[in-house]
Amino acid sequence: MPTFNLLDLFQGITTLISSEPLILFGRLGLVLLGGLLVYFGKKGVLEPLLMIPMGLGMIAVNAGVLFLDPVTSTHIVSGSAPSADPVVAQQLAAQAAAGQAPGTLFMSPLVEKTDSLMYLMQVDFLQPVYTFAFSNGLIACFVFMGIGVLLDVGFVLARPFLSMFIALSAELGTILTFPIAVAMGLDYREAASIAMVGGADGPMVLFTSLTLAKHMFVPITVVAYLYLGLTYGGYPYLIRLLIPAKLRGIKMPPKPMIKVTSDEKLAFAVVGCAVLCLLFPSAAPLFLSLFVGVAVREAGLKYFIAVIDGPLLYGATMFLGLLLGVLCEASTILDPKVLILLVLGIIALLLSAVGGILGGFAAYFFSGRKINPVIGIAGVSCVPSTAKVAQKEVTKVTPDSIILPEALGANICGVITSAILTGIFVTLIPLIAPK
Amino acid sequence: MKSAIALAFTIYGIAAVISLLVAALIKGIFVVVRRCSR
Repeated sequence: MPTFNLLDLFQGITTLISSEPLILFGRLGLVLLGGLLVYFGKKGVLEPLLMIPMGLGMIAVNAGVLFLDPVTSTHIVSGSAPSADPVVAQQLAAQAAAGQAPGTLFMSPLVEKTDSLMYLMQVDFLQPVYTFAFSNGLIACFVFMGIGVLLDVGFVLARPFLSMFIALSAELGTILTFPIAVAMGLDYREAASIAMVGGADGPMVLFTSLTLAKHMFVPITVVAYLYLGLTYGGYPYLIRLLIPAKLRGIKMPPKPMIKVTSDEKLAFAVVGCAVLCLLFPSAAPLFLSLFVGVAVREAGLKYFIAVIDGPLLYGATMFLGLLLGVLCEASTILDPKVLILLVLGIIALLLSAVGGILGGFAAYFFSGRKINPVIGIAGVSCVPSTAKVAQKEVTKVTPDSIILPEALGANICGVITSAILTGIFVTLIPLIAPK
Repeated sequence: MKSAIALAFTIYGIAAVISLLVAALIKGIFVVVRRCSR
C-alpha cells in the first residue's frame, strides 16, 4: 500500500502550523471574529443580512488554506503586481513553482493580468463574481439602486433647505477625518477613502476606496461595515449626552402636510440625476443607480420594483457580505495600517454624529426654538436607521412628539450629500495626488 | 497637514454650495411642476 503523510490530507491544519506565528494567530483570530460576527448578527446587534455571510466567509477563508498546485500558484504570482522587494518576489516565484505556496480556492483579489484572471476564474469559485461585479463597484451600485427604491423623496421635497443643512452638518466627520488621517501618516487617497466612513454609507465607502485606494479597500470597507452596525447602538447614548431631556421632548409645530405627487418626485429624480452627473462624472454610476431606484419607484414600475427591492438588493447584499468576509485573509488584514483605520473609522462616525447634533441645535435656534434638535442625528445617512433612532429617543421623553418626517428628510439628504462628497473626492484627489 | 486642512474645508465648501444648489433645485422643481399641473 502506498504511504502518505496524514498532514498532506488535512492541509488546512498543515498550512496553519507551518505558517509564521503572526499569520497563525491572525488566522485563528479571524476565524473567532467570523464566529462572533455570525453570533452578533443573529442576536441583532450587528446587521444580520451582511454579518452572517461575512462572518462565514471570514471563517472559511482563514480555515480553508491549502498548498496550491504549481500552475495555479504561478498564475497568482505572475498575474499580480510584482513585490517591491526582488528577493521576496524571487522567493514567492520559487515557492509557487515547487507547489509550496499556501492559498485558497475562493478568489485571488490581487491578480490583474488577463491570462491569469481567465485561468483563475475556472479555479476560484468566487473569482467571476469578484472580477465582474465587485472590483468595478457594480455590487455597490446594485445596493444603491435598492436604497433608491426604498427612499421616499417626498420628505426631502417638503423641507429641502432644512434637510440639506442638517445633512451637511452631519458630514463634519468626513471633512475632519481627512486631515486627521493625513496627520496619522495616510496619503491623500487613503485618507479620503477612510474619511468617507463619516458619511455612514457602506456602498459609498466601497466605491471611494475602490476608486482611490484599491490596495486598502478591503480593510477600509470591512472597518466601515463593522462600525456602521456598531455605532447605531451607540448613537442613542450620544443623543442623551449632548441634548438635555427638555430639548429632546420638544414637540415640532404642526405643519400642514404637503402632499408631494409622484410626478414631482419623478421630476426631481430626473433633474437631480442630470445635474449631479454633469457636475461629477466620476461618481455618475452612483448617481444613476440611486436615481434609477427613485424613478422606478415613482413611475410605479411594479415589476422593476419587485426585482430591485428583492433579488437585486438582497442578492447584492449577500454577495457583498460573502466577498468582504472572503477578502479578510490574515495576510491582507494584518497590515499595520488597519489599527489606524480602526481609530479613524470611529473618529469619523463620532464627529459626524456630533456635527449632525450641532446642526440640529442651529436649526433649533434659527427656527425660534421650534425644531427638535434630535433630528440632527438623522443627518448621518443610513436610511432609515438614524431617523428611527432619533424618533425613538424623542418618544422616550414625549410619547406624542412626532419628528420622523423631518428626520427622514434629513436622512435622505444625508445620502445625497455623501454622494456629492464621494463625487468631489474621486474627482479632486486624483488631480492633486496622482498615482 | 495645513494643506490637508485647507483641502478638507475647500471640499466642504464645494459640497455645501452643491448641496444648497440641489435644495434650491428641489424647491424649484416643486414649484414648476405644481404650476404646470394646475
